[in-house]
Amino acid sequence: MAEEPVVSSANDDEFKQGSEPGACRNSMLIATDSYEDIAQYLKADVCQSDVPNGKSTSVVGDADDASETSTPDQTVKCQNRVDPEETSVCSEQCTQYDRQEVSSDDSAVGDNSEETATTAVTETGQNSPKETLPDISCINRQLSSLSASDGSPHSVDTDQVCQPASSDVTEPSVTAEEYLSPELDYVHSAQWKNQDKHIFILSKAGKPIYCRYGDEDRLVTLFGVMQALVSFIQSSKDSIRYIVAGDHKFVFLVREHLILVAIAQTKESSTHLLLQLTYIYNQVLSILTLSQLGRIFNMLHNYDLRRLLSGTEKTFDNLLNVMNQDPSFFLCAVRCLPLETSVRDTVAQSIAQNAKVKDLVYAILITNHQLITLVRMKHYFLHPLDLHLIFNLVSATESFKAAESWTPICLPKFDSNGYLHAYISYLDESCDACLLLLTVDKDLFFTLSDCKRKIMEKLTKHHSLKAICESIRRGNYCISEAGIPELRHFLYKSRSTAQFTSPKFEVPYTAEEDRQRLFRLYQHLHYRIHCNSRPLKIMFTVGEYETLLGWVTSGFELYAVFGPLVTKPLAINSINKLLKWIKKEEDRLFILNSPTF
Amino acid sequence: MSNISVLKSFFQINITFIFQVMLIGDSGVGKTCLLVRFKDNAFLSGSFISTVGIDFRNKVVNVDGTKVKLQIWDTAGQERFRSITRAYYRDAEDYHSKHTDTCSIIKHSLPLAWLAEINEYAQDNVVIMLLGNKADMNSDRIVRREDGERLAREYNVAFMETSAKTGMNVELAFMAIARDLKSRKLRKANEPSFNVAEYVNQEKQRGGCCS
Amino acid sequence: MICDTKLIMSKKSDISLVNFFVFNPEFGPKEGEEHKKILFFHPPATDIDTKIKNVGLCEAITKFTGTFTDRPCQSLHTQKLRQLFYEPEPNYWVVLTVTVPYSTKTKDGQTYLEYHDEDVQDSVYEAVLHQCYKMFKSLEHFFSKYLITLKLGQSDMLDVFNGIHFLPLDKNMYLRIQCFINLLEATFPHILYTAFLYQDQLVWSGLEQEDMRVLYTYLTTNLFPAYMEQEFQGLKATSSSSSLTSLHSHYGKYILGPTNLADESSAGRIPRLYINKDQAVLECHLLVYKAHSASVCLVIDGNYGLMFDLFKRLDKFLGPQLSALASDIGDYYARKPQSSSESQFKYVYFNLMNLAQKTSIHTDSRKLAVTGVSPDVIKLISDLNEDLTSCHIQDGEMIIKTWNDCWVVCKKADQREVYIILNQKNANLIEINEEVKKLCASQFTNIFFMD
Repeated sequence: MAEEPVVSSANDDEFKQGSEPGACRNSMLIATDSYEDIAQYLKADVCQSDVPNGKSTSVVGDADDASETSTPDQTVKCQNRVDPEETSVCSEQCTQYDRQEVSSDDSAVGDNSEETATTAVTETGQNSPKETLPDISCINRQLSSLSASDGSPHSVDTDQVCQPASSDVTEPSVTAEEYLSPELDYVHSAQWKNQDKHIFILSKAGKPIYCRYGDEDRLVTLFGVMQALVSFIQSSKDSIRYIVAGDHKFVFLVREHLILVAIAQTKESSTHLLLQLTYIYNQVLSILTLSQLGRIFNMLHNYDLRRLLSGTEKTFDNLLNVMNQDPSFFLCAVRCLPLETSVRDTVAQSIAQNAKVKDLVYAILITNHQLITLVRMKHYFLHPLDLHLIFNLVSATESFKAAESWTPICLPKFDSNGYLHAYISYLDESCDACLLLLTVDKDLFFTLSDCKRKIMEKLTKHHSLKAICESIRRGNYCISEAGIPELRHFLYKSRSTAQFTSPKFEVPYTAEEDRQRLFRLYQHLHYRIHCNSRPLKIMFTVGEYETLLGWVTSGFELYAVFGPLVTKPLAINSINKLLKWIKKEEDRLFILNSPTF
Repeated sequence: MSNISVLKSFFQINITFIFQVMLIGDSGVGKTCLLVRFKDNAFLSGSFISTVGIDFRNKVVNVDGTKVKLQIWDTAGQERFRSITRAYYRDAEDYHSKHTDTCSIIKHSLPLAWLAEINEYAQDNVVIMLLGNKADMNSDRIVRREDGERLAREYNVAFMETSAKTGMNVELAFMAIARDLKSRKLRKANEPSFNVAEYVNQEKQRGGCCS
Repeated sequence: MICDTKLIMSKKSDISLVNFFVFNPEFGPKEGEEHKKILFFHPPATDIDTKIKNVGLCEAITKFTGTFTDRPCQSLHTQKLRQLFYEPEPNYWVVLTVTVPYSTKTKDGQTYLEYHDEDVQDSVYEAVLHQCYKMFKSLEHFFSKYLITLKLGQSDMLDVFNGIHFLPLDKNMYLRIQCFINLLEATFPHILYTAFLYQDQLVWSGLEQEDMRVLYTYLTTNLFPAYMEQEFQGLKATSSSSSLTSLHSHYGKYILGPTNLADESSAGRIPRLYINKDQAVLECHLLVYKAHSASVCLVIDGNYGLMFDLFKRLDKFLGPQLSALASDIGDYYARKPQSSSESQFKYVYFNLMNLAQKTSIHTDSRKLAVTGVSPDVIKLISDLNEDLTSCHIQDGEMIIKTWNDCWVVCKKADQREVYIILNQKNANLIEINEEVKKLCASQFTNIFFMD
């Protein structure tokens, strides 16, 4: 490495991909080519009205198009692509649902006023919703009712509440006032409104699916309005992106079958909010798969997806909380547990040798949103987007700790149309390391359980388990290890491996608010540097409380924090020292090699 | 799927049987709690932790000097896992089918659908037992004891009320299953089959039915 | 994995005006009365249903955001359009819609349109909207023409600053001009306010800042250029006649006012200017008189009836004096040494307190020539300005290097901001820092003390 002050030289190629600290030849994660690619992925929109051939991405069963496997050979196929049994089960579920629908008042006020919520479904027929243009004045009346100051929806017409189609109403029909007043309470609650970041998921028909705060049943009108806005703008062959009002941003993501909305006053950029919504969408896919979503909604436009998502609230909540603290999401990278190479190699070998089973795609050992090791089938890479969902599933599910588990999981980047089956088991009660073995074969549980047993034997024999536990117990490293006093904190990402490292938070970022503030500063720096049309190489900002440096080369990305009075020569010097230190420690901080099956 | 491995020898005294037991039922009825009570003799109080997919736990019990290992599949009750769990009906030998007495969310509180499905999909020689859990919550009952018993008669399965919280009938239930399974394995053609109901009554009369 | 998109890049489309309208949702709350909400709509030829739909959607959007925040709704981003909102008075909304540029791309054999959302910056177009509104309020007769001639593609952070170019003069000159104006206002008591400009820089103004900004925008983006155009093309048929009537004693004439002092009918319509005074709006007449490169704007009490005799008397007063002043200012500048370091670097400077702005990027207010700086860098400066504003940063500094190896340094202290652009590819951060320090010391003395 050159000795001269870096952050400068015209020759940024010095850090060409492959030579930077943390680089490795065999990347085992898909390194995202660039943030621009991610940005494109985020903008991928269902209403591709400009695409000449009008290729819709929501076609169900067209599995090859919808899936994004980057594999050369398609020998590994996910299950449940077009499973006839699945289809009949689904339709059965749907008809059951319809019977329930007719007997209870399940109407959504937010639907198009022309479209009643309980369109009866014939035994054989499909439900073809009338795609009528939402009446904008109707929307405005609903909105007026929401903001009525005296709490009474004086401007609401009773015809807005859809009457159930059938006369088998078991509950008395509800008047507009009564129906809307719980919602008014909500929307008038300053506390609810003031939450930093609301997240809503609704179906294309406006049916509530999830909301981060509060009970989605009590926000029916709001969901209806959001759906109507999306649909109204779509009618002019355009699509809504986001709205800005003061510190608030209202970001819309329209994907196949679902609409996701973020209402945030965190001052994050719309791109970052869109990224978070995309993760939430992918989380839905991870639970249900894209093909199943398609089947369900194509059959029944008004289906209440909460039925299939019951019990998963914690998974979504957890994901949202983690995204507010963990830079791995916007960096599109993965953090590794620091571990001596010898230990990591032994662990990897133990796994590789004892889990050599046909149709086993990935063997992953993780702890608390960090990767310990990954062994994969040749030619199959694991995308950070998928790995983050796996991290989230494990950290959100307490029940994995007590028993060996077997559950289907869809990895949207791997194949959004089918499930992998995951054997999940914590290695030992003594430490937090969790082993996942992912396969396409749904009958492999006992085989994999046996694999784990054999792996454990090996790990215990070589004392690797002890080393892992020790590393977990020690926690993240201190920045003082690098011996650079002016440097307060940093994020370093190696682009070729999509891995990153950062030290633990120390003074002055020990308190929660300070950590949040720093996190937002990192986010903003990242946003400016990666702006689509005017990306930057270097951004050095002197502020009131700290000085930040962002530096992007083709090989790595570095974001560093100093005190506010640091001089520029000192800052540059520190960066040089840091890069040297990371290079020295790269074997421990990154996974540079990993075996394949 | 890899099957039961049975070590059998007429000349050995220690015989170990391995049987699969599957707990199925709607979300929230208490399958996991029941299992934890049985396995660890503890009660999972606090917030509701939903099972994801299927959890596997093993417990070895002693049936008249014979070791019986129960491989227990604790299935998630949510709708989206139905098709997955259904796929395993065919392979498991026993089901604990459960309903709840106090679930206020689900309208259909009797597992008609479950029983019907098991009947349809499972092998003929499965042992089915119907458990009415949360029997300790008397005032909030949704399903009456008589209804549970009637349903059990209809499908010709054994029935008992249990409580993972107090422990009532938990051990009894699993032991009954273990015995039934063992007897089926060992039973010769002309021997009388094990009668679960009889056994249960016997144990209850002995007193100390709560483990 | 570079795909073909990078190779086949077609030209980007322009940012163009879709519509501009003013509405009040309180008018016409009942069904069937929606059209009453619309107070102004451009383009006027739009059919009524489309107008109602547009207004309806804005109403919905503003109400929707209103359920979560008291802060007014600012912008709506869709894939193809950008809509900016402004609520100058409660329930009185002004909306501007512009297109988002797109280019055609091909990927894997498929052609699609990519929309460049970042090319339309909210802060810039919000400023344009505010300017439009002020123009709408102040110079109504003129407004439609203003809208049509808006060069939206050239809007940039100068619109955000919306500052005024001041002409620095020596004390002597300045005092002379002041005396002149005092005498003018004393002689003609119905003149409420006066503004004195040389070329398109302001020397002196009696108007309030906000009003002066509007007037300044109007003068520099419309009136003066149009006049210069006319002059250049020699279309002023009456130029000969005015010189006849003035007997060659001076070179002054009205730009806004009678074109021929011998002909009463040539007064035409004197435009109304609406200015703010003590919370009320005053309707005034606006006259502009020019001699060589100097111009005087006269804001006359609207209640006073303009008699043709007044025009003649003003002409007699202004003509000789203004011509003389113009000539002297011209001489003064001819003698002044040119600063040599002007062209080595590019900069934009803005002082929030007095709205002074200085720029070497734009050679004139019409921004006909934006020299030597790529449009992305100009947008970057708006980005940085937005950061400074939104984070309420009082004192700060940013040093940036773009992927084109162009350095941009931004410094802010008190209420002053300066953006310096250096095209020094091979410099490193420390060298750039030194360079900027030197520049600040020589060009922007006493403003920035930081390292």
